[in-house]
Amino acid sequence: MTAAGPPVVIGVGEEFRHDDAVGPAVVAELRRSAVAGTLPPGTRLEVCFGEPTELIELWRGAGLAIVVDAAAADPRAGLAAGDAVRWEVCGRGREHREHREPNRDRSGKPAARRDASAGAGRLAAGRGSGPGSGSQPGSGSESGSESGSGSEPGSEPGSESGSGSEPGSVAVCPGPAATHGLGPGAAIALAEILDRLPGRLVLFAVAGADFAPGPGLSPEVAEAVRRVAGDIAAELRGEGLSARSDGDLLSWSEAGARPRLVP
Amino acid sequence: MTHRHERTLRVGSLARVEGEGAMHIRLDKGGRVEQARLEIYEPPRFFEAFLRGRAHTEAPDITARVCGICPVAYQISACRAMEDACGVTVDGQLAELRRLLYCGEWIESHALHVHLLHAPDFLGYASGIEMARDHRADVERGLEIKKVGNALMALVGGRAIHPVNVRLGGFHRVPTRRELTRFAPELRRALDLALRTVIWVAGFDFPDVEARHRLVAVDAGDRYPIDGGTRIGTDAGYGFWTSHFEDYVFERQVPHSTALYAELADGSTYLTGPLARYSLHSATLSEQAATAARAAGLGAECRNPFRSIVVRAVETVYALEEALRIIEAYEPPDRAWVAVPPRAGRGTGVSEAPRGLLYHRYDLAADGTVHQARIVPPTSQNQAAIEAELCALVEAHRDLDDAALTELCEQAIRNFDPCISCSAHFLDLHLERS
Repeated sequence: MTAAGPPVVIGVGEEFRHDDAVGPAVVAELRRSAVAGTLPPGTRLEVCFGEPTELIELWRGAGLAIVVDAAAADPRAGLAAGDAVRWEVCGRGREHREHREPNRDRSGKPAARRDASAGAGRLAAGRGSGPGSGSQPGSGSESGSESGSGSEPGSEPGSESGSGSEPGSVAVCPGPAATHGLGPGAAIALAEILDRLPGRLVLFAVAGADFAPGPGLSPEVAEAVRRVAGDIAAELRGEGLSARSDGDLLSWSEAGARPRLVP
Repeated sequence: MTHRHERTLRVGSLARVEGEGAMHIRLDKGGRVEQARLEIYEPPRFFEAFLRGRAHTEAPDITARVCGICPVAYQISACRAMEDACGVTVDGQLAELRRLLYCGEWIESHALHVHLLHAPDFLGYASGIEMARDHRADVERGLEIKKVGNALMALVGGRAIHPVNVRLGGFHRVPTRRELTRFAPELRRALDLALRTVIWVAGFDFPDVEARHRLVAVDAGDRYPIDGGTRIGTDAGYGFWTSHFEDYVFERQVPHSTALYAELADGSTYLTGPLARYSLHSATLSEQAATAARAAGLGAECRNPFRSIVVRAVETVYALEEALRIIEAYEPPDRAWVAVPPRAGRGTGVSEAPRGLLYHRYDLAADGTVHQARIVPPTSQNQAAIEAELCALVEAHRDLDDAALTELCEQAIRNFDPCISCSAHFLDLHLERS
C-alpha cells in the first residue's frame, strides 16, 4: 500500500558537531516558513540523530518525506562545503534521481543547478560517529591497520573507500556495521524490506567542512541553509526542480566508493 | 581440521556493537591463545575533565552526552552521586518516576540489541537488515517494542535521546496522572510482544559455555536492580557499600585500549550486566517475567554469555511490567524536584545501565563546584572478562577454520552488548616535553 499521509521534513544531525547540525538548521529555517504560511498545511517538521529505526518511524505513512543531512566535502571531486546534493528515492520502483547544487559559481553568486551526471562528483568518504562518540568523520584508526580477516576501522564492511567513484551514489551501509555507522542508508534498506518507505523519499545532503565538537555552522554551510530550505519548500509545494538524472537505487548500496553521509 | 601454524584472527571493525572497536587474537602452533585483545580505539572522551570546574547541577546534562543509547543511566548515576554528596535523598513518586524513565531506556536498548544486533548471530545473518528479509515479523516486533521504550523516555524525559527533563532532586516537570495512564495500553501491547520475543529467542541454539568470572550487580533489596541502590552485591558472598566501590574495584590502563580495565581487589575479573543481575536477583523478578524465564529454560542463575539474549528478553518483559506497575500507582508529587543545596564533600552513585553497573563519584567544593569526577562504565568493567571469554572460546574451538572462529569470537563479544563509546576513558593524561 502506498503511503499518502501528510509530508514530513526530517533534519538529521547533531547540534554540537558544527556542520553536522545543518539538517536541524534547515528544519529551523522551514519552521519560520511554516509560521509565514508558505508550507503546505499539515507538513510535519522533525529533527533526529539519524538512528535508522527512529527515521523509519518518522517517515512512516508520509506521502512525501524529505530528509536533509550533512555530508563530508570532497574538494578533489569538486564538492565544496555548502554544496548541496539531492537524490530522489522511490521504494518499489527503485527509481533514483539526483542533482547536485554547488554552493556558488566563480562570481560568488549562487550557481545554477546542474545535473549530477555531468558533474561527476562524489562526497568524500568519511566515517563519522553517532551521538556520544568522539571520533571525527574520515578518521579511521591506525590500530586496525594490520592485515587479517574482517574489515578495517574507518571503512564500511564491503566497501573500499576512496576508489571507483560512481557519480550520484551514496553510502547506505545496509550490511554489518557498528551502530555508529548506520544512518539514512540503513534506514532506507530496512524500510524497503518492511514496506515502511514513504510514498516518495527525497534526500538532501549538504557538504560540510567542520565536524569537530562544538556549536555553530561554518560560513559556507550557514549560507546554504536558506537556499536548501527554499528548495525543500518548493518541493513541498510541488513546484519540482529543474535538473534531474535517473539512476538506480542499487548504486546506493553496491558502489565501490560512494559519497557518504555523516552518520 | 588441524592447524600446525601460528594463526591470527582479526576483526578490524566490530559489527553490531555500540561504538567502534576491534578484536585481535593470536594462537601459537599448538593452538593455545597467546593473546586475545578487545581493542577499543575510539578517542578518549575526557568527560571527567570536562566536569571539573562545572556546577554540580550540570552533571546530569553533561554526562548524558556520554552515550546516545544509555543517557538515562548516566543522568541517574550522576544525580544519585550529587545528591549523596549534598546529603539529599530522593524518594517516593520522584524516585518511582526515575525508575519509570529508566525502564524506557532498558526497553529501547534491549529491544534494539535483541532483535537487530544479536539475533542475526543465532540465525546466520550478517545484519539485522538481511535478517528482516526472512524474519520480518520478528524484526517488526522488535521495532514496535523499541518504539514504546522511546515513547516512554520522551514522555518522562522530554525526548528519547539525551533526555532534557532530568535535574538534581527530580525533574523539571512531572507528568500528570492522565498523561501516564493514557500510555498504559501501549505498554500492555508491548508486553505481549516482549513475551513472544522471549519464546522466540529461547528457541535459538546456544553453545554450552559457562563464564567463570565473579558477578557484580547493584543490590536493590527486594527489587530487581535498575535505578540504583546503596549497596553492590557479588556472587562471592560479600557485598559492599557504593561509597566503598573504589576500595573493591581497581582500574588500570592497557596499551591497546582507550578504555580502562577493571578488576576486583583480589585480582579477579568480573562481569556486570544481564547475567550478573539475573544470577544475583532473579528471585526479585515480577510474576510474568519469572514465568517467562522459566518457560525459556532459565534457572535461578544464568552464566552462559550466549544466553544473555534470553536474559535481555526477560528483562524487557520485567521493565514493561514494572513501568505498568509504576503508572498504576502513580500520584503526581507536590513538587517536581527537591532542592539539592551544595556542600563540600564526596558523593557516589550507581545504577544499572542496560549493559551493567555504572558508577559515578564526585568531589564538590562548598559552592557545588566539581573538583574531581570519576566515571566507571560497564563495558570497561567487562573488558577483561570478555577477553578471557575469547581465550576460552578459541581454545575450545581451535579446530574451526579462521573464518568460522572469527565469526564465533565476534558473536562472543556481542554477547556482552559492549557500549564502546561509553567505555573510552583515560584515567589520566601525561604530556612529556623535552
